[in-house]
Amino acid sequence: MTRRLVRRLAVGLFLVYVLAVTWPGATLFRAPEPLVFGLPLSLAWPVAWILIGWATLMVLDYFENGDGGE
Amino acid sequence: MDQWLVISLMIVAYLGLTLWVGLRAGRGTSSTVDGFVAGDRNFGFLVMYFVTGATVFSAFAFLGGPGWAYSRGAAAFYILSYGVLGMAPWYVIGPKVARIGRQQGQVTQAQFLTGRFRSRGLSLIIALISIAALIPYITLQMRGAGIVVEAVTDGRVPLWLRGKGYAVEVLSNSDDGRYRVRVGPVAARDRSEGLAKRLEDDEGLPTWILRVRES
Repeated sequence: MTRRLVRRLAVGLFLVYVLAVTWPGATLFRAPEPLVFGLPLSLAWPVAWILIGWATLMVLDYFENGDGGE
Repeated sequence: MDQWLVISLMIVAYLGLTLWVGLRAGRGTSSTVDGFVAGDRNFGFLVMYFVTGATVFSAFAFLGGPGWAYSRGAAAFYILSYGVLGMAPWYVIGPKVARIGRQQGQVTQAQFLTGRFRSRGLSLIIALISIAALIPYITLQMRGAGIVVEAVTDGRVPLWLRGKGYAVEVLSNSDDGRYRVRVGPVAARDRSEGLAKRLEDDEGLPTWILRVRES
């Protein structure tokens, strides 16, 4: 996978992130139930995206500064 | 050992650690503007981590966010998202700004924008905005830190140690009242809800005013 492709994927994923946690995307997941690992769905949803965003930046950093881009 | 004492010792230990990290980082810097403002642009991972953390997790993270969540409930979850989305662009923007600043010897936002757009007027405006925004912001942080320390030590830390940021009043009258009588928000809500129930049950009085005030 090339560095350019990873950059585009990361940008695309963060755009999806924006849509997922703002109106109207977030309204699809605003219910208190079901509980996800004990968290209400409306809290588990942004927490899940935080983890996805963190993983995305880790992968991007690997390709930008680590061995992935070599 | 009393809980407030344990918490106080933890705060002192944390402040001691950050002071040590700061002094250690500042020991090798030059006596120049670059050294004073930007640590000779040579921050290590640990200092950079604390600087970034201090930028993101301000008094709002300890007081504003929880307070917003307490009063508004799940509507405050958006704070989690913008905290991440607001910082993510700096993965791209930050290194570029750092590189340009390093090349051209810029250490402030005003210098950076002047370097990019060659406008002294713009530089002046940015400098004035920076001062106008930063002074209340710093004051707010000190005030917030003082309130946090005061709360976690049950009011035992003297006033002069709690920060002196009184230029900007950040509390509502209700919060300030609780603060003055040493009642936490949860205890205050318990009391007002208990009072509302008693008034409603025993006196038959309408209690919507109390509820609106608490909402």
